[in-house]
Amino acid sequence: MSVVAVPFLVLALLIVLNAPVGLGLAIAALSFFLGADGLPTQTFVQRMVSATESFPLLAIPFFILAGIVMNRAGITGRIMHLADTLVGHMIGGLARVNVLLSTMMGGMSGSANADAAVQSTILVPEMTERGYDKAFSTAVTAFSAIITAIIPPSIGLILYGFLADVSIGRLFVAGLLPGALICALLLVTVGRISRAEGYPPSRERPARWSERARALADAMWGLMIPIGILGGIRFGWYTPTEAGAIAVCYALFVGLVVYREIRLAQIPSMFCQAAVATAVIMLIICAAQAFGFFLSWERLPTRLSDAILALSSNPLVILLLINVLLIVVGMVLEGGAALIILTPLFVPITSGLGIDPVHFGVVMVLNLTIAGVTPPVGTLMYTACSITGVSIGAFTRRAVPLFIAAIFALALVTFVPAISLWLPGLVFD
Amino acid sequence: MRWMSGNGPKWEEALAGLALAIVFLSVVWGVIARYVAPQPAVWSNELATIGFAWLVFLGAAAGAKRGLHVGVDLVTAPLPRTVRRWLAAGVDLFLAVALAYIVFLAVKIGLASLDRPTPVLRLPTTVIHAAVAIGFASIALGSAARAVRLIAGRP
Repeated sequence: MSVVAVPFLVLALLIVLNAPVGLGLAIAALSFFLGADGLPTQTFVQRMVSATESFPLLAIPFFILAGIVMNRAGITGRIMHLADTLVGHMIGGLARVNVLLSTMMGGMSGSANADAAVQSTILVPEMTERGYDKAFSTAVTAFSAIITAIIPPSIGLILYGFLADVSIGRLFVAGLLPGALICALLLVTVGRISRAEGYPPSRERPARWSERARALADAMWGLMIPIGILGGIRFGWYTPTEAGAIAVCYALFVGLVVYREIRLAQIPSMFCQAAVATAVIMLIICAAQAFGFFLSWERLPTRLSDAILALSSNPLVILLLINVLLIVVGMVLEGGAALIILTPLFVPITSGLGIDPVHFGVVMVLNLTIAGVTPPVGTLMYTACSITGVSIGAFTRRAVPLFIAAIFALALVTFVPAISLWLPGLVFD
Repeated sequence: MRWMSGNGPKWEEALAGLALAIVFLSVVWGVIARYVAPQPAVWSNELATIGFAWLVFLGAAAGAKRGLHVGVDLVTAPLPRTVRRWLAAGVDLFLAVALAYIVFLAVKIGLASLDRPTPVLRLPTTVIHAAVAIGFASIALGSAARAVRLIAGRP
């Protein structure tokens, strides 16, 4: 058996036996360092900590913390009310509110998992009470979290920017239109399903414009956050990481002083909660860094690149091939880990073919976020199902139309680069 | 301190939260100093990244105690309960041994780095490896304890 195969086998075995993915990846990488000639075994530890030495990745805990503070500060509740005044009167009102809330919250929080967890807790019970099928509500919640992951600030885009050495500010702006596109497609899809299944509106008649204006004014403190983040990055006032820290300061100010829904004594628990949520993601990222070192050491990126380019040198065909490969990999590997391992493999290929790295970043992050809602390994799916108590089988059955909408969005973003590149060109050039 | 009450992983979670607070304050001070102080705080980025290592590895230990690390139970879930229990015990034992070895490596590299200072704060780089050693030691001990419980048939 080839030595190269050992880490893959260790990883496959540990994942099949239900070991935590982060630890499985770390031990698989360790098996390489144990057998590698001319490489001190301690290098493994250095590779593991290398991700924590990255200043850009510090944005991850800040945007997770900002999301937690905003939920406690009452910002989420106010934005939900605004979404309800806008679409609540339509058939399937709450399902649409679910999608719209993810879109608006996507501009403030970086974590799709946090979004799925919050909406599973707040919206799914209410949807169930109003007669919605619970599996459908759970599926809408998990799929709408994809929007959070692609609209800036986005953990996936931060990771990609760090790995591919691409401007995180540009990636953030590039995520806006694709996020809006998925929002629109999901709104249409849940609308059709709701009409077919007779799901009621959440309010009897459309809100008056004065009520909408009041809801908008009430939610304005929260809605200013994405403008502050992107504006500050665009004008060079602060880096994306610093923008995360400033978003936390702002959310704390709103919660403590403006809305007065946070008490000082609650702050330590929010920091602890954010630290653990960050660490769960970062352990996978650190382990994937060590595993990625193994791939580079064995020159697997070059071999893969040669193999892919031997099939075709047409950028569209290559993008299609990579997308299919990512969908398959995303089904069995956690999205963050797949992003860390595969970005250094694919970016040289696509850049060599003239594909813009910002466009490719959006495609890759969107693809691997969709992987979060596909069985067997889908963190968004697990998060939502574990909170609502829906089985993976029932979730999967109700998710099919939403999955088709998400894949359609992915195809559009892949083959129409302007969806990702038009806005960054307008803002930065 | 109500936020530390209950049966949760107290010290790991508290230290990870504290590390996040240090990271947050360092970065915020870095921004303020750039615009307000006569010279930028060059130490702030370094302190933030050291704190990040503690946040990640201590937080990972807290996450392990809370069972938050994602696994895939697609293959094991349909198996009979007894087989599942023994498989889980075997995996936990293996994890305990492998992670203990990582702790050994972290201690070894940490000791070798005692005289290697960080660029700005001049702290030994051991301070980063210590986070790996302590975090993984906690996860290894937790895995070993869970394996023993599973073998003994206790919940």
